[in-house]
Amino acid sequence: MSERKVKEKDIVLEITEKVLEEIMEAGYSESIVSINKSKTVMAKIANSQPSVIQDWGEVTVSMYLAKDKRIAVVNFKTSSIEETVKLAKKMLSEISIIEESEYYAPIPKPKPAYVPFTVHRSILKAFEEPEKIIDNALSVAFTYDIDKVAGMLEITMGIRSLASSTGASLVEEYGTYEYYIRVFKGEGSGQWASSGRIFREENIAEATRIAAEYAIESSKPESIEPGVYDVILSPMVMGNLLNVIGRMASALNVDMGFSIFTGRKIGEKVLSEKITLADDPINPESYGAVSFDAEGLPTRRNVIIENGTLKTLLHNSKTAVKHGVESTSNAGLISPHPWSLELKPGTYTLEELISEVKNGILVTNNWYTRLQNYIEGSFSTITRDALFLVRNGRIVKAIRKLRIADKLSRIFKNVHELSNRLYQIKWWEVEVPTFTPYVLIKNVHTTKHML
Amino acid sequence: MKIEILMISRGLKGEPMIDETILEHIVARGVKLGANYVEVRYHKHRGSYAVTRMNKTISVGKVFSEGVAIRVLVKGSLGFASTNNVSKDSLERALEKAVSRAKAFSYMYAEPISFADAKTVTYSYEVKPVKDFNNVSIGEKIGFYKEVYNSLEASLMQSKLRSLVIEYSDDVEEKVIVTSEGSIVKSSIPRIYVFYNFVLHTPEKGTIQRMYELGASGGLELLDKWDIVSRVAEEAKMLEKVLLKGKSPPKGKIDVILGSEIVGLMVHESAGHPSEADRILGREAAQAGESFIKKGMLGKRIGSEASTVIDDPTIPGSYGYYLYDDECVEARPKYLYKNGIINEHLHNRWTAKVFNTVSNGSARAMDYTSEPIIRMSNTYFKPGDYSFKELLEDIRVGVYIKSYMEWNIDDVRWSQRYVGLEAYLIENGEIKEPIRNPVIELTTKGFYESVDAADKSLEFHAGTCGKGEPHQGVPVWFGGPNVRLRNIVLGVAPY
Repeated sequence: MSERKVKEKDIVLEITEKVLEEIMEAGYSESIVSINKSKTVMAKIANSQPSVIQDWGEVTVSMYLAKDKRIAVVNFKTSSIEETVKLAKKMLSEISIIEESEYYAPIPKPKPAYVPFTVHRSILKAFEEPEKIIDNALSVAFTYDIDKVAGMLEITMGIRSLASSTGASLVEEYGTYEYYIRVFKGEGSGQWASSGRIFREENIAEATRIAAEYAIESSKPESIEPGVYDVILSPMVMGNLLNVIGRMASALNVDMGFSIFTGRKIGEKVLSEKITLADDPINPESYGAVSFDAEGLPTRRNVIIENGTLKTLLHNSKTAVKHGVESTSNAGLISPHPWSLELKPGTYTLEELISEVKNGILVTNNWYTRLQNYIEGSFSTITRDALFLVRNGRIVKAIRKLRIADKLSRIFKNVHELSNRLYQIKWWEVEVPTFTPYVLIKNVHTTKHML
Repeated sequence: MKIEILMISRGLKGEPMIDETILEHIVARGVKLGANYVEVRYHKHRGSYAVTRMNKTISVGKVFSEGVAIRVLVKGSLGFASTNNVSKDSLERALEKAVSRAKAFSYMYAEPISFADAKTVTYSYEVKPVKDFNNVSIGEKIGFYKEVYNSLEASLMQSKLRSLVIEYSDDVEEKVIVTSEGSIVKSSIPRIYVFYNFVLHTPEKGTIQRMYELGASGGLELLDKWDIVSRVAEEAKMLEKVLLKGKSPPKGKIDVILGSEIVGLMVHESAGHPSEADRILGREAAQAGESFIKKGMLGKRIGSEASTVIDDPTIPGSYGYYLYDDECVEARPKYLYKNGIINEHLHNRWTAKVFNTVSNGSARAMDYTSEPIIRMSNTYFKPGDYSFKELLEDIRVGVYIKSYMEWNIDDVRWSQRYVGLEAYLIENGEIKEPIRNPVIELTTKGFYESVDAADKSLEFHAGTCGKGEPHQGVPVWFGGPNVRLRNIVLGVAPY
């Protein structure tokens, strides 16, 4: 790491501590100040050429402000630190006339087990030459007989710092990439994604190849009737559904009635024994890797569901006090959230999963997942891109779009087997990076338009 | 409610936003660096918010964002950069990045980007609230939540309230846009937004959940107009009946009356989105997808004579209100589908060039980090001349679906599904007992062709429409009258 980088990191932390000092002098009883300084480049591709190249340089300041158990959270996107301090001080008179928060808890004292992440040199290089990466990806795509390509590459580097009135003083650097590509051929298309903290050309090439192959294999789809099928959900689809489950594991969402875990007990069997879902922000490969949470606690791997049994919700110190447990280091200043989800893989290859299916479908991608009722988990989602009919252990043809309309708990109780390889998925429809295999689920309800 | 639109020739009232000469300097410098087009937008949001649960406050807060977005067209390549350090040096650096990144990618364009001509304009406008929220404490603004809780609880006969969440936010959005073609547009728009979620529960029947959003441009007078206390209690009372007494929907071909809330969402999803010309041209293909509408389909029939869908940013007091878009093009109503015919798309200056037309002012950006892209504003189904009673009277067996929770539509905006929440059986022209989870699952053409009548009412509903990469959420209204569909087979809700 260069001397210049160390200096910038230290300056950001110094400013963070100074802001905290001013806020506390203004009369707050507790405060957390966090500053994030980042730069990002993003190239968007459509019709096999760039559509726009975007570049961002930003400073964001967020603060947790408490006085007499009353809570305020402020978010500022401005480089004007003076302005943020002025606005934060102004909040003091406002929070004195609101009532105590039912989620108030003292800010936790810092814990020492903190190992900051750094920026991998491959990210630094990628940031300087996104055009070469896009050029290479297009070259890989057009080694196939395809019609057109769309997609996105984003490289981000930044520094995040945190200072709290209980003595936390933390700073770390981060660098990430996100890439996804959609390839079109005839009436078919394929889409895949790759992301992480270490940039590897071969990962870009692999995602491109998977998308191109699915596009070609799905180029002549036929219609089938909806009904109850065994379905294999690809990592793209699982990423989308596990994001829903992961957010539902936030203790505040549970309390607010936005979760299938509302009313369920820790230790209760909630999903199939085949499901072990963790939140793992300390995986150094993850796009979502982070060493401390928004309250300054060192992050850790939490197993949310182990062999189908609910082991923990995701907590910050506030929801933890309310639920009578310890924080899981998933703060959110108000709402806890997952950092990086991971579904434990199985032992099957994808081919072996397909060979298990007598009458089913392979879903490679989906979007627009919406719920009728969050507590009951009734939902539907619509497939997009390649979709295949599987009969007697073999893919027999590409098929047109269907909807999955079912209950989340039923789907995740009917898990039959999982494949043995994890893919890291993050893209437009998968906000929280998710490591997941292909998953075979029995007896899933599908629907289709009637007119 | 009274919203005044003030046109001020020399800057806006209130605090100064930014020194315009800096923006003009950046524009001039961009041209010197070789850009054919430069657009510099100062964009600020400031507001407050609060979240409550049941009859208690969780937290309150403020949001503030301020920065500058720069867009350049260099050798047919589109570059964008933004920064929230608004000093001259920082803006110069951002400009240089936008230009150099655009140049680095320019060799990859088989079809270089260019913009359709647009008039040069100088314009300022401001929405002035009747009750300004800027100097009112957040505690006063959200004082209604305890009353909502109490009246909701009081409205329930047998079920229990399992959850009530209310989120309040207000925001003032201020912009100054300067282009290398000499246009300058300034605006200031205050908005208020309220989201609520409640869940009713009985041990025997399980739960029923309702989420709804209210939003508009204006001030605290909107809270009086919305009367959230009565609104939530009334809805809870009706939904309790659906939970306790709701039966399965009828099978076979029936007639369906869709309420304004669903009609509004349907036109947003199946007329507004597929009419976005950037989607039609494939620019969003890897994200929100493409459109069943292809270039050359203007004039094709998509529905019945009764089907007209309009997008109009100029509705005073609306949530999606603006008079000039973020490319400095004047806004106007667009008849997307007119009497069942695909009539006009939503354009920005790039798509207008490709379609050999002029922009109709549909480019919007969420904040300073966002490029302007084609967006809806206030999209609605044009009311007809029936009364609600007339819609009902010749229906022998049907359903009336008033609100929804679950919905989705495919990525070309053709196959869509909406699951009713508050819904009733219709028998011999009369509304009867509640039904649970009726499903409308049909194609876009199937929907618009099945519409045979609409009543005279017009209601709007608020939402935050998502599009773009990075994701941009912008305020929109969607709405319409009650609309009748003939010969519909309801879909399946396998819950």
